[in-house]
Amino acid sequence: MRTRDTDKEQLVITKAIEQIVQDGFQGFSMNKLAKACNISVATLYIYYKDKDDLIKKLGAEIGHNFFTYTMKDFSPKMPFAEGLWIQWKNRSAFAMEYPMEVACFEVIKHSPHAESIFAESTHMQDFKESMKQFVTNARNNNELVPLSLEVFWSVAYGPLYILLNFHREGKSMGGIPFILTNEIVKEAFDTVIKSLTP
Amino acid sequence: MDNTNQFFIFKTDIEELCPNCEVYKALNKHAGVQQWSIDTDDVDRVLRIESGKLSSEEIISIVNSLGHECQELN
Repeated sequence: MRTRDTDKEQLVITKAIEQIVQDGFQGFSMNKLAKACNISVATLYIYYKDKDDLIKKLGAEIGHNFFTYTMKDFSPKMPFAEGLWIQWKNRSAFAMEYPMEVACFEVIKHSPHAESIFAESTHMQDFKESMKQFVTNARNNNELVPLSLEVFWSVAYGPLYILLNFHREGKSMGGIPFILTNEIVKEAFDTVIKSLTP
Repeated sequence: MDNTNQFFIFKTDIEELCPNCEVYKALNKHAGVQQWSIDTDDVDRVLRIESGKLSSEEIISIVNSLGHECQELN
């Protein structure tokens, strides 16, 4: 007879994220994970039915944390520049604070698990709805030039994610050492706002 | 899930699972089994059973009687 233990569950999540980031899904197994956590495989199976179940739950957990974090101090009713700035601040703060989670989420996002994780997440639905509303309001208030969805996203968030990537790698093009500062984020943001404003 | 759930974890030799398999049918219709699953991708073909009534010995004898090996993992 076995019961669950929430401290162990947290350890399992942390270690699973580490292993998926290091080895990808192929190199990741329940046995390896159990060893890394110093628990028996049997204990691991109390928490999760199988590897797929674990990956799905992990994705849902990280997604939930990300969406909650991103919505902090944000409202879709905000003026466009103000709201987008909060999005930039929240998204970069999350990436800085939880680099492993972000890297793991990227792996999961590009896997066949992504669809079912997002479909089952009410946080994801709320997040999408909120972002959609934000952009619609900006268009209605003539704070935003008309753009196709993909172009809007690339211009509005692309520069931030590229800078965050440089920061994570510690270098930019051609290996130039790079650290992301608030000044650089602001410089990029101002350029983005200029190009998106009518 | 709350802490009153009881899980039993076994190593088995059940390589494939389908709705026509004896194990599938037996576990599905057993009143003492609340939930069950087998990880056929894992080397240990781990059988996971959630039950408030059965003992591990009873589960082992059910699986054994269907022609499969079954050993509790600790």
